[in-house]
Amino acid sequence: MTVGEWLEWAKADALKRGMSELMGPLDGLAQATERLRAADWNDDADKDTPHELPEAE
Amino acid sequence: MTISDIAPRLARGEVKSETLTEECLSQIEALNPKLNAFITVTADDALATARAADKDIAGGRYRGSLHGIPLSLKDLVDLKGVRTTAGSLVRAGHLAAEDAVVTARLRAAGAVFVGKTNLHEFAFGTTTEDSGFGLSRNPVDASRSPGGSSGGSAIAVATGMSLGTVGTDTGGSIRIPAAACGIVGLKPAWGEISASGVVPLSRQLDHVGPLASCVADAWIQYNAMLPADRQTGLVPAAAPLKGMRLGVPAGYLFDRLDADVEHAVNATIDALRAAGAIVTDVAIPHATEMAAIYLHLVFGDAAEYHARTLLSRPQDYTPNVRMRLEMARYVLAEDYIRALRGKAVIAHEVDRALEGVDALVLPALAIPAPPIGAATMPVKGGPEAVRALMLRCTQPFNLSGHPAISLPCGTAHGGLPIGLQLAGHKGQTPALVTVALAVERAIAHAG
Repeated sequence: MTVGEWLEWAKADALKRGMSELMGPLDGLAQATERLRAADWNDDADKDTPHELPEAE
Repeated sequence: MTISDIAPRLARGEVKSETLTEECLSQIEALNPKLNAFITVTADDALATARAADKDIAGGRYRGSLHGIPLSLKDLVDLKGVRTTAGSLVRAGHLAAEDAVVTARLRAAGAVFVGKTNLHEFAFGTTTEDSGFGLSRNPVDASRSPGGSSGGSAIAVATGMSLGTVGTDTGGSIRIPAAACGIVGLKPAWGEISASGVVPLSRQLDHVGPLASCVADAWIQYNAMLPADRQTGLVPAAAPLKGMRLGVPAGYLFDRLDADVEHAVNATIDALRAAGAIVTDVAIPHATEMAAIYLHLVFGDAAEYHARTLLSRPQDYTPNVRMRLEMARYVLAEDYIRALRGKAVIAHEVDRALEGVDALVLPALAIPAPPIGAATMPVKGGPEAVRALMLRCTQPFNLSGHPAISLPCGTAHGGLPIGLQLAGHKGQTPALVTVALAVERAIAHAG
């Protein structure tokens, strides 16, 4: 689910529950989610195999 | 009045615990109607415990620096036989069946509990404005917030309603109110002090720790909160300032500061350098992502804990906290996992920033205590969200789990306190305290 799709779904659900005051805050959460998804620590299935996992001590 | 000063006098019988406790209860009676620091006052139990402490001390059964000392507990922390409201009407009918682990340890050390302090509802906020038991007010300026979420605890110590207190810190909730009220707040490393018997906000970010009048008092309480086999007793000596290595995490953590805060923190760092500390810049490369990581983790965890009551009794939450919890329900699992990975990245980067230094030095709170009701504050020419500003400098060490301490380092316009923050190596909270003792002394000397 893209952030845009998620936001559309979340807003529709909030409105269905009579919580129109969540519209602005959900926009803010969507911005934070975009930022999180753009972070360089995220892996993609078609990119290099993850190598950073430490061995158990 | 500090615990460090009064404890030896209690031990010698020069001062009675009953007298100290009566003085704290008098302060509560005089100031609580205005400041609303306490939700529950346990006067009768406190006086009975104080009299028993006096009897024990007179009988040669002195237990140590907290024996007979009046303390308070943030009302997230269980005290047997007393309600734990978490600042919410959702829990107004709750009665604690047992002491929290930390309460039991302080009780064993001889502490006298005068009551349970107000907080931002369920610790889900930074101002102590949203509480089912009314908002709390800053003792320096009653038109301002005391910070939060442990706002009532900070007020209690700042005004002598108790000589020390227990708070919790998920994104800064010990250090933020300590900074806003001009006292000391110590967040130990994650997991160092048991959170059993403490209402959670986010179990992986929650920390339990003391707020106090000075660093030595914070140590005394911290030490008593540890498991018995890790307690060491004596307040450690201050580390030497000459040759102390301090890292300044420049960039994100310094770029949205109120002008007075920026001036006071930089002046303190200059004074430490002049006293012989070796100050270098260090980096936390992903600091800019911390707010997004924090938001998703706290929202995910809070949504889980509040899922049932948010459906069954939403009207019992304060409107702002309810709205935050309703929003929290929309966080997706995949984004929560991304945040968990980001948390590990931040922990690694804080470790790297600490390589070769004794502690990091930075502001505790980017702004002085905000006016009650303010949603934004002007910083660097533009309005910034108060909540984000208040969490900005403290949340890195909740994500990373490193110990951190806030101590006063001057005042802003209107006499509002400013807090300096020091962060230390994991597993080395005592070493951080020795640094803080030295810095506290240097600030006093410079002032």
